[in-house]
Amino acid sequence: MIKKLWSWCVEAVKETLNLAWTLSGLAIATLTLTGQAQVITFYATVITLIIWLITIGFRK
Amino acid sequence: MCFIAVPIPAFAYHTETQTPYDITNVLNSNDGSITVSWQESDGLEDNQPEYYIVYIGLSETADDVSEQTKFGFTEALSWQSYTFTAQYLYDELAVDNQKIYAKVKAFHDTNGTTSDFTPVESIMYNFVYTPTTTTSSSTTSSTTTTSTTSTVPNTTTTSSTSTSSTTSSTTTSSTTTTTTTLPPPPPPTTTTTLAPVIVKIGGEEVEYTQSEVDDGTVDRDIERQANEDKWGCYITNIALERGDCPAYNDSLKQEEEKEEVIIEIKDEKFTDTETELLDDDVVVLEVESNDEIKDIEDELVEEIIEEEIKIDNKELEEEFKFEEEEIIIEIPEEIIIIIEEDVEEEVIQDELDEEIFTDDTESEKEIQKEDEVFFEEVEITEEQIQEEVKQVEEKIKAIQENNVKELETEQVVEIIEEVNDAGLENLAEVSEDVLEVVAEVVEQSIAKADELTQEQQEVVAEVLGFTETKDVEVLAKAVKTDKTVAKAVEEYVERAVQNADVENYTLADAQTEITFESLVAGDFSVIIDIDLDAIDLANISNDMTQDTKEKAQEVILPTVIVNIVSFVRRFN
Repeated sequence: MIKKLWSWCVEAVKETLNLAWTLSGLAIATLTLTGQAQVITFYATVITLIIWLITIGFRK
Repeated sequence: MCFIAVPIPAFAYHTETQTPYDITNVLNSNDGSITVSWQESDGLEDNQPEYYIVYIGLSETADDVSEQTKFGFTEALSWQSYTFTAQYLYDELAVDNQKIYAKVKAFHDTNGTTSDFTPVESIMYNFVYTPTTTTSSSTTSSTTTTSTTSTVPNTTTTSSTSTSSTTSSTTTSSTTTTTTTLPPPPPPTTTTTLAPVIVKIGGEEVEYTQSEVDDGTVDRDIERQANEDKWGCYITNIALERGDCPAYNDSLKQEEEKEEVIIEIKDEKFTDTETELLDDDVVVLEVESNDEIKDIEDELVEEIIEEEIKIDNKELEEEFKFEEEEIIIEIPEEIIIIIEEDVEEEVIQDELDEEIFTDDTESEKEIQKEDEVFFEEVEITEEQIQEEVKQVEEKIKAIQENNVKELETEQVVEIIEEVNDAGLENLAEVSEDVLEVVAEVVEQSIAKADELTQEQQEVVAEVLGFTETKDVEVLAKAVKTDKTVAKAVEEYVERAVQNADVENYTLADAQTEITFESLVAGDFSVIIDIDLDAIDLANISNDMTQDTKEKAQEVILPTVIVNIVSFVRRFN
């Protein structure tokens, strides 16, 4: 169980690093925007990233 | 696609008023009348004809005379006709062994629509009509006949029958046309005895009724007789002038040719070749020959025109040369004046200096002095900026004793106007106290955005770096709901002065800076602490200024492009 969790964490870091440029762009966009657009961009980015990382095994 | 693939007849017929079909023009050899017939439309039109106009004439345009029918559309595809009596043709057209052309057009006055003209149909009118010379007062009028249409299934028709097939292939209907000429009106029961008028025409005595005298028949007959004697054509003067008599036409052509020759000889005398001809006796004799004149006249005229053109060109060139010299003299004075008034044309003026005053050192010096004056003006502009800054300071000091919140809207806008004149980026040398007051004034202007007029909003928009005036109103609302925006407005003046070297620094930049600083400081409330229920997805960007939107685009677009590129590279 711990091994599986560890391997998932490693994969998650890898995937996140793969998305580094996208995430940095979205972070800058979040900083640039104001109001509702800023909030939605922030939540959309975070939620999508979480889903992306959870479904690593499923997508492979 | 279905409409394109399958043509629908109803759409094809959708016109305002259809043109009548199948026009015919028939001569009735018994009475000399002609009958123009046509088939009515199929009725699939917006405005069915209220009446028709039948045009006839002796030329292919068929527009000498026209008659309006008293009937309009009666039944789809039925035949209509209009008859012109021999008397009518004789009186109106003076037709004499000529072709009569006819055409028809449909009219719908109620909706103001008309059809196109039908094709022109012609018939050779070789009927010899002799005007009535009886003592009885009979009148001949054009009669209108309307044909009857009957549908006879499965019948074969005679030559006067036109057969038409319907869209169904199983039934065939034929349309039989019967044209009935109405009988002449019954003679009057009481005969009025009018004394005949005897007129001598061509040595013969001819009797006319009083009505014929009244309607001009006698005059026309006299004209016809006179023209027959003179030209051999028994036609009226109208027909003669129209060109119906070949002998008359030939004589006209001959007269025209004579006039042309005379005019051309006169023209030659006016030319400058007269002196040359006088010096040469042989040439003069040749000129006097009419045949030679006709042969050389075209060449002479062309030569004369060419010579005249050359002379004119020379004169024009001389005139223009003179004007150009004048312009060269006048230009320097004008340029000096322009240099004094227009600062932006400095480069062009320098070029002109070199071109025009190559040999004129004095003028060059004068203009260089003017250039020096121009550079001094630039220095003055910088001084003016400093003066403007001083004015801002003075204004701020004047109100420092009072509470900024108590200032009236006009006063707030006045101060911002002064700041705009000086330029926010030029307030770096101003004391912090003055900057604080300016920041408060800007904050106050946003708070009073509802009270601002359009012009005042423009002033506030300018100080915040907005390109659109509406952004002021949007910002005023955003300040109330968004902490980051409120803080950005509060700190904008200070940050703008700090970033004076940054081109186009606006409130959006201040907002981004503040958000980033908050996140770095661990304050995520700037993003998270917002009521999600209040989010309206349909108007998601309405609470953002245009300035912010543009800045966001500058960031998001490259992000999307980089993302696409990275995906492509990964798949490759």
